[in-house]
Amino acid sequence: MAIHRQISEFKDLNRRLKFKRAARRLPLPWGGSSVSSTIFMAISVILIAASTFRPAAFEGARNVTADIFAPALSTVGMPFQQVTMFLHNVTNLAQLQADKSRLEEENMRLREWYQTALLLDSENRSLRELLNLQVDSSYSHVSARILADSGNAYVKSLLVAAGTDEGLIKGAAVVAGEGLVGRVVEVGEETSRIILVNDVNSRVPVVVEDSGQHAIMAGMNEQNPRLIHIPEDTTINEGARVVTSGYGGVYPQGLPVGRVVANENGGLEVVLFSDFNTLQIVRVLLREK
Amino acid sequence: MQTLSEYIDIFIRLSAVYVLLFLFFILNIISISTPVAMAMDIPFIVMVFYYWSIYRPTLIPPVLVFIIGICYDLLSGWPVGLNALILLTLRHNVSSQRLFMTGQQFIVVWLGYTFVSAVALFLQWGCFGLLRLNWSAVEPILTSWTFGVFLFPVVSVILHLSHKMLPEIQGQYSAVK
Repeated sequence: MAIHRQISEFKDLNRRLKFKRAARRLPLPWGGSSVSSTIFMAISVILIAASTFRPAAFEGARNVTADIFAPALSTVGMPFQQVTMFLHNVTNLAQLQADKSRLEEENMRLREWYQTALLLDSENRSLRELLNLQVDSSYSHVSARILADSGNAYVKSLLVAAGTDEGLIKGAAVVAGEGLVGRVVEVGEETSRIILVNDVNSRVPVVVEDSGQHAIMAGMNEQNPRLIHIPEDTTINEGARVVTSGYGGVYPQGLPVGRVVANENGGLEVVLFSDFNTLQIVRVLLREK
Repeated sequence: MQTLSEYIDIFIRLSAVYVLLFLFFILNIISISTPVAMAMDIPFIVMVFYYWSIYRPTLIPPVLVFIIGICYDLLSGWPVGLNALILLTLRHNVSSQRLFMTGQQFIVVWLGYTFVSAVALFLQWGCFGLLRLNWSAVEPILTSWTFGVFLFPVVSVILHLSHKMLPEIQGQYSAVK
């Protein structure tokens, strides 16, 4: 009996040893040394240099990676988007009451404007017929759900669940319910990246409605983009509406963008109509051929 | 049969660790929008790499850190290689201090994270500014860092639970008893 017990203990000890050896081998045996760290650091530095001088070389890789991770981003991101919306709704309850009375007043004014607009529209149509003017308003749109919002301090962009399969093209303007959001900069098969109008690389030709002054709206990686290239003697009123001018052909003419406000440095900024924090779906405008 | 079942057991335990790593990676990509601030990215991946660099660096070999860093750069629109370099530097330096860190109380590990994440975020900010010649505002980065510091204990508890699931390795330093 004692021999049997000893054999059994020996077998048990042997099994445990095997288990520990297996455990020691299993956690990824390749490359834990500082040599491999140094090699990968060197590769990283080369990649940084390459992506700085030739960013377009990585567009394909970015699109493929986004397509691969799209299902995971969508699945994990959905509950967070819902929670974010809920939190926004809860915190906005107090503001809703104030907004309601303001909107009622605005609605009264808008009714009057509506009648005026109908008259102007009729007048406009007859004038166009007279001038035989061709208005380029033939845009279709694709709705796309936001997969990820890489709204960090450095890059203001969105990843949306639509790509070449849906007919998206690079450079297409993107709008939400309230106004302009940005433009498409990278297109994959199933996903696309949108650069927001407040990204530092964004430049939008705009016109300030009440003065008719043309300007460039430049993103600064801050909440509000700035208005630049305005002549010094120009007077622009705070609160004036800013729309796209259509210059350059990237953005269609007349898309609402935001309202002018003066910043503490005396410069002019645009408070955007679109609230990027609550966006869930955007519309990509496509010029019909 | 016994050996095979043990291998399956180890595989499942390790899978839990890598599934968590993947989840935190995805969370890092999805900026979390808050009512009081703009969308911000909490440095979950820095927390995960900091934790494993101390307690089980063999789980995150340089090649894995490099791949995750590159994927992060590609998905978030960073210059490719920037976060890979920062994460590799973090892993290398933190794991070199693990002899000291492993035996410390949690408060010391937390303070260590506070310092390491500040350095990592400062490096991100500095390198990005140099590469793009555009200096971003510091406030959103400070907000991300602060949220990260306060969330670190929560993330640590989750990682600690997954760490307890792992088979103990002879000759390795471990704070998990």
